[in-house]
This record gives sequence, structure tokens and C-alpha cells, in this order.
Amino acid sequence: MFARMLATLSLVFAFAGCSEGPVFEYDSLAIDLQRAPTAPGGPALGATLARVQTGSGTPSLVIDTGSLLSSLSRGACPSPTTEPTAYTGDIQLLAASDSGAPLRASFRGVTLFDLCAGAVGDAGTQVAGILGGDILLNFSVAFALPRDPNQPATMTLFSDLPASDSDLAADDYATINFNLRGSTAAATVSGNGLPSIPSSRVVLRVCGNPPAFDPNGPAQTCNTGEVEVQAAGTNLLLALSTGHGPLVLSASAWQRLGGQVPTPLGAGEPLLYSPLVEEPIPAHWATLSRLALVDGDSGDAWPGACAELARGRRIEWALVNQNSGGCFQPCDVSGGVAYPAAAYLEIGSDLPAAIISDGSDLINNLNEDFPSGAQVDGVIGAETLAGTSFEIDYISQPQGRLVATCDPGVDRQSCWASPTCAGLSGSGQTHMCFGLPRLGLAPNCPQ
Amino acid sequence: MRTVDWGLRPRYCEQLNAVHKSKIFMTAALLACAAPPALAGPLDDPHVGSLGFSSPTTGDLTAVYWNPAALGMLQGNQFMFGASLHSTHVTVDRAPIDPTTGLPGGTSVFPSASGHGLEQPMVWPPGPAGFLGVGAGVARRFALAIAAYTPFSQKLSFGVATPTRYHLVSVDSRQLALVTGLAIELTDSLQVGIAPGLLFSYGHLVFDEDTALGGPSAEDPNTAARYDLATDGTQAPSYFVVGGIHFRRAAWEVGLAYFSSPLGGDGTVKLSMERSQVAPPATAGTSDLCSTVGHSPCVSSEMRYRLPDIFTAGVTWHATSHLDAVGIVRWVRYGEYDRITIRLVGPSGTGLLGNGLPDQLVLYRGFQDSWDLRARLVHAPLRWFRWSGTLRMETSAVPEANVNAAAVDGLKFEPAMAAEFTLGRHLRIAAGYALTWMVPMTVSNSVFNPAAAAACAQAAYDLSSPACQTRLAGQALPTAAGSYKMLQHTLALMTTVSF
Repeated sequence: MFARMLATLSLVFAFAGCSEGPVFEYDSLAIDLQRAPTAPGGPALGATLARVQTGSGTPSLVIDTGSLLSSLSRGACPSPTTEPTAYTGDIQLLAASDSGAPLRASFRGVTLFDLCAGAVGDAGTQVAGILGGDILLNFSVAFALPRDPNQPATMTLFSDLPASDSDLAADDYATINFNLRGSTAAATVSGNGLPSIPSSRVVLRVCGNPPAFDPNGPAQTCNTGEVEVQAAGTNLLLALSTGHGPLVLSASAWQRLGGQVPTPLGAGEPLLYSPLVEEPIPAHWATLSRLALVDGDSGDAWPGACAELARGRRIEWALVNQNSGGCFQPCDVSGGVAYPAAAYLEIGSDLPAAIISDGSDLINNLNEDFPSGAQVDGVIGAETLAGTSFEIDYISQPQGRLVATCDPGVDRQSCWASPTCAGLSGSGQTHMCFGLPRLGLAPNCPQ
Repeated sequence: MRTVDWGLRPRYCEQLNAVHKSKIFMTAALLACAAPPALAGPLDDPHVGSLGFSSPTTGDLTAVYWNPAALGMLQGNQFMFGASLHSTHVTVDRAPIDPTTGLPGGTSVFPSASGHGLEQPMVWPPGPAGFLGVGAGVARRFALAIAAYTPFSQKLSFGVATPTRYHLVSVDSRQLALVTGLAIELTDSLQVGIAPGLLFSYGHLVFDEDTALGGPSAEDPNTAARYDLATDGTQAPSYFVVGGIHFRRAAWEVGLAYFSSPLGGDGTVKLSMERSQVAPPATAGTSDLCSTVGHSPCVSSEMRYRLPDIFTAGVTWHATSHLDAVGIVRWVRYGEYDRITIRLVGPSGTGLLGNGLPDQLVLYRGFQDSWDLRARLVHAPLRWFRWSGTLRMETSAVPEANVNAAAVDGLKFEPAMAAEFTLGRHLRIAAGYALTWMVPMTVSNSVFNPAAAAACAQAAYDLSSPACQTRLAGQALPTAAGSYKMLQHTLALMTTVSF
């Protein structure tokens, strides 16, 4: 028996670490990316592109956090066959560089689909494949998306993001937690033995079209129990997709935002080219005044993105105006202590948006995993996030984290990253929030 | 995180209660969390337990490290406490470099650099060079023990402006093991044992990063950023296991043991360096990274590395009733310890990268497996006295080209003497001394290449270029060519109480 035990132990030790799997090689330095047009004729602030080494050249590859699968066509595109097949292959990622196309990251032995991704941004920007969330979720992926189309966007791969939420908040990062979505039998494209696809889609809770805010402006009052009543804007659920340029919204979401949807939708307007669907999508092009990505969950007690945003702004107002009578509103106080202000990233203004039909393939694709659950209203594209740097920490447990900051020098109306602000419970405590100096306990307003 | 260790603990404690020793054991368990033991190779302690008597065939509490199966020879109850003073002295004489390229062979000379390290257990977080254990033989065929010791540690400090700054200014790394051991006597001559344990890590590493590597002026102190990275106390533990067998027949005893590297999480030790500071170089736009966020420290970081596993074999021949001859072989599988990876997160805005400070660092180590061989005679001329003489030899864990101030190693020889006195029926006190001498190492072809960083940048960071592969491996650093000397003294004291 002892011999058997020893043999078993030996086998365990012998096979430990022998499992086969993908091999990644990267150096955690920024990889220069190209950008697709945001739309036909639009600026080059759209989908993030790299090049990929194939046997026949170095075609473009779209890096799309919104895609559940990665693909690389092994033949000519468009492909004569429509049935996708999966294979184990390599993506040799090449950067956009003045001095050629240097190899910047290598993903060997990964599952790829033999698909033609088609066009992104406009009909002329054809890509041979997608580096999707199924590969990216092995990393903490940082993107820098400048506003200037002449400045290169970059992507950096890290093994993880070691800082805690509180440390990140102290360093002025807005940390927005998320659960990954997307895994579903349907997402395997068909039941023909294709590999299962993990959840890798970052879906965020967003407040659309909140009013502009000035912490030096007038106070907003809010009585007990009115936190949702005082919210302004429209709650949205949006996927983060660097494979798209503009903000993409379903027609119903646009209508909830107060927008008009022309009939027929998109007649005479440019098409939307998405890497997630084969055919270009008719779209009505509009602008959204601003958008706030808000940290929070979907629990029953959560008041929603817009209510959290309004609360965060009221708390900021109270702190800014603490020395001139500012106080916490009754709806923001529980047990004598102010609620913590949720972290948020606010982006403005006049954000280009493509409004597409609720029945479009893209909206259907985004909701395949929960067809009867919370509906994803669209995607936040790379253009929407221009002027920000953010890191998608897929590795963090139990939830992933989007850690965002605005580019230096950007004005508040264009970009504002607000870390969470913990409430104080005692007069001896202090905290630093909203970029303000260290402050003590602010008073609560009378009921 | 539930592991087999925690699962065993309650049952273990119940059994201890059954032998009416609960208070003693509880006290010992608490102490075990607060104290521990020594060091050798570049990282591991070759003298865990005692300096002159412990081996894979020794039936005392140090068997939780050397060979848990030997715990089966434990008679009655035992408590052991040991402390060592372990002093390391390293001398580095760097080879001259070319002042424009940084490569060896030029006219820039360096003063000799001296590094010192003194390890002793009376520090917090628990220091190396200590051993604390308590155990009991139960129902004739079983033995149980709990112990704390430090199987791996490294402590060395150079001066602030040392010529070794780009490889090491100072390091204090400790891995405290808290272990429960169980031995079962399968037959009169065969025993098996297992000792699952938790490994609590602490680290403090200081070094400089040359932010203008490959620039016109090699190793210019004005372009050196200082990285001072430290954990805030010990970290959440990883777990490991020690297993072994012990066989005895007539005058011979044989012990075989395996000490695993950390299990789970692909064997990597991850340390959150919560007390990290990065001082930008004099040429940077700011002297204080934290000024924009108004608090310090404002840098978070994480350090990752692997630890070796160890195979140990020992033979004891009881030549006479007064004389034992002992042979011990340890195979320390350092090959896994190839690099330390560090990720840093600085304040938002310009942060680290905006000031030209890298936020991802790879420190190349490139260790290789080492062999630790020792021969020992143990003579007991009197019932209350015995002494031992040991000669130990250990091969280098660091290939010559990879030697640098943070990884000094070579072929080592170590004579050691120890004596043990038995006082009354319950108390034994042992003391020992060892002198470890490393054959001086001269590095002429250092693996570290300061030109690789610039060459990689010129290649647009193309990973297929040799220069970028060098950079990726953490070898794009100032050269470490030069000569290295190391001398270590270890003075150990061990108290054993049997009751």
C-alpha cells in the first residue's frame, strides 16, 4: 500500500506543471495601435487595430474587448464558406510602427475561429481577425486612447493589476467593478463541436445624458427616500468594445434617452461597420451630451447608475462647499453617516452615437447570454473613451475591474474620473476625495 | 482558501487534548507564529533545526523539515527552541567599464563594495535563523508535531551609493513556514511521514533602475531611480508539503524526503508590496511622485517569483554505541528560480511612466539546481555529552555568468562543529558553529548587457530581436562583471525539553 502511495505521490509531482496550454510572450511595454475610422468618412479614432503575422503578409487585426471569441482567417477573405471552424493557432501581434511591423506580443496555442471578421469603421478597413476577450481575459489590459488622431493609441498587457481598490482610489483612479458576461451555448456559434467560449465581455452600468455638473454651482436638495427621484439621466447597460468607434445604442435605449428614431432607421446615413456581425448595420447618427460609467451592482438595493451619480455629485458639492455651509443631503445619509460616493468616469461632451435597431444582429449578439434578463443596450466604443486611459483587470477576483483616469490637462466637462469617496463616521477622521485637500467630517443637513 | 493544513489542525488539537497537554501545545502554537530560524545557497537554510545533529534520520522535532517520517522515532513529548546568528559578508569588486557604453573593459573603475547581512530570529516580522517546535509520540505508532522555521531567506545590504546599486542595494526576504507533521510507523523498521505547511512571506527589496540605460553616459547616478519595495508585514500564505520515509535495519538508518515548492497558483509566490516607494531620478520632472495625490506611499506593487523544491537523502551508520557516521545529500532544485517580476502602479496623471519610470520590471536570476553534500561524525563519549563534526560542500546555485550582487553564489565549503549537553532527565542544550567559505567567483562574461535596452528600443521593441529577448529576460541591466567573495558565519543554539 505504501508503495502505491509513493507511486501516486510521484505521479502527482511528476505531472504537476505539465499541463499544456497557451503560451503568451509579451513585455508589458506599450504596444502602438492603429485606429479605424469611427464611421465612413470619420476621424481615425475608431476601433483599435494592430497587425498580425500570417503566412501571406501582415493584415490588420482588430483588438476588441467586446468580442467573445478570437479569430484569424486561414484563407482569403471574404471566405467562400460560412460555417466557422475552430483551430489551435498563433497570433503574432505586430505593432504599428514607423520602423516596420515589430513583433510585440505572441499568443501561441490559442483557440481561434477561422472567420473573416470583415470591415470595421468603414468598408475600406478590412481586418483578417479579432483579438477578443477570450484571450485578453488572461491579462490585465491597459489602453491609452488619446483624443488626437495623430497620437498613437496604445495597449499594454500585464499579468495582473496588484493595487487594491482603496489604493487606486487614493491615487485618483476611478475603479468600476464588473462581472464578465457572454458565455452561453449559443455563443459557441453552433453545436458542431466547437469549443466553449468563456464569459469575457465587460458590461458596465452607465448613466446616459446626465445634466452637467459644477461643484461650485447651486446645491441640489434631496430628502430622505428621494435618492431615485432626484436622479437625472437614463440608466443604461453597455458593453465595452474597443472594436467599435462610436457609442452604439439600441433604438429603444435612444428613445429612453429622449431621442427620436427616424423611420426607416438610417436611411441615407452611413452604415455602422462592426466586427461582431458580418453585414454593416443601418444606423442613425446622433450625439449624446455625456455619459457616466458608474461603479455599482445590480442588487435590489442599488438605486441605479444615475441615482449613484447624482448622489456622488451631491456629496462632492457638500465637501467642496463644506466651509460655506455645505452639508450632506438627508437622502445621502444613513445612521448619521453619509453613504460612500460611488466611483464613476464621466465623459463628454457631444459623444457621437450610432443608433441601431433593437432587432439588429449586433444587439442580438450582445444579449445572447441573457435573452430574457438584463438587456445590454449597446456598446461603448473606443472613440467614446478618447482622452482616457484605462486598464481592464480581468484577473481580479471575484469581480473584474475597470480602472480609469483622464488624460492630463483634459477639462472636467470632457472627462472626469472620480474615485470612490468613503464616508466618515467620526469628527476626528479625514479623507481625500474628488481631488480636494484632506477634509474632515462634513455636517448632515437638517431633515 | 481551505487547505489540507487547516483541515488537519482541529483534529490534531483534539488529539493533543487527549494526551492532556493542551495548554503547553497551545502556548507553543502561539509562539510558533511569533518566532522561527537560518540560511545557505543564495536562499535556503541548510541548517534548519540544529547545526550539527539534524538529518533525515534524526528522530527529533527538526524532522518536520528534514524528514517527517523520522518524527516516528519521537519518544514522549518534546519541545525545541533554537536560535542562530547568521552573518554574511560579501565583497564585490566590479570590473571597469567603458564610460560611454557601460560594457566591461573601459576606464571607469569602481570602488570595492561590501555587503553585510545578519540574520537572527528576534525580529518582527518573524526572522530567519530560528526553530520552534513541539510534538509528541501518540499511541506508539503515531507522532504529531507542529513547528515553525524559515526554510528560505536572504538578507544582504550594501551602501546607499554602492556600485552594485543597479542589481542590489539591499534585500531582506523571509519565508516563514508553519508546519504540522504526522508520522506513522508502518512496521518496526519502516515509517512514513508528511508535514503540510503554510509559507508566510515577507520581502523588502531596494535597487536602482537606470532610466537612461544605453545613453551617452553609462551608469550616471543622476538618471538612477530608486525602487524601495516592501511588504507590510507577512503576506497571506501559500502552502507546501514535506513528505518522507524512514527505514532502519540493524546499525543502518536511511531517510528520504521531499520538500515541495509552493503548491497551487502555478507555484509562484506573489507578494503585495504595500510599502513601496519610487524616487525619480534627478533628471525627472518631479522629485516626489506622490505630490500630486497628497499621500505617501502612493505606489502599489507586486513581486512574483518561484521557490525551489528540495529532495533530501540521509544515511546514518551506528558504527558503535558511541559513534555515528552520517551522510546527507540535498538536491535543491533552484532551476525554477529564474526571475523576479515586479509590477507597479503609481498615481494617476503623469504617474510612473510619465516620469520615465518603468512600471514593469524583470530581475533576472537564472539559478540552477545545486547539490549540498555533507559528511558528519557524531561521537557520544559520555551519557550526558556528545559532539559532532561536519564537512559540507554545496555546488553553486548561480551560473558564473548570472552572478550579481543580488545573487552571489559559488562552490562552497563549510566545516562545522557542534556539542550537546544533557542536563538532568529533561533538558538538552546544543551549540554549534559553522564557517562557510565560497570559492571566489570571477565573472568575466556577465549575462547582463546594458546595450540591450537601447538596441531593443532601436528595434522598436521587436520581441523577435535578440536584444529584446535579453530585455524580456531581465538581463538588460548594467553589467555585473567583476569578482565576488562571500564568507558566512553561523552560530547556533538549540534547547530541547523532553517531558
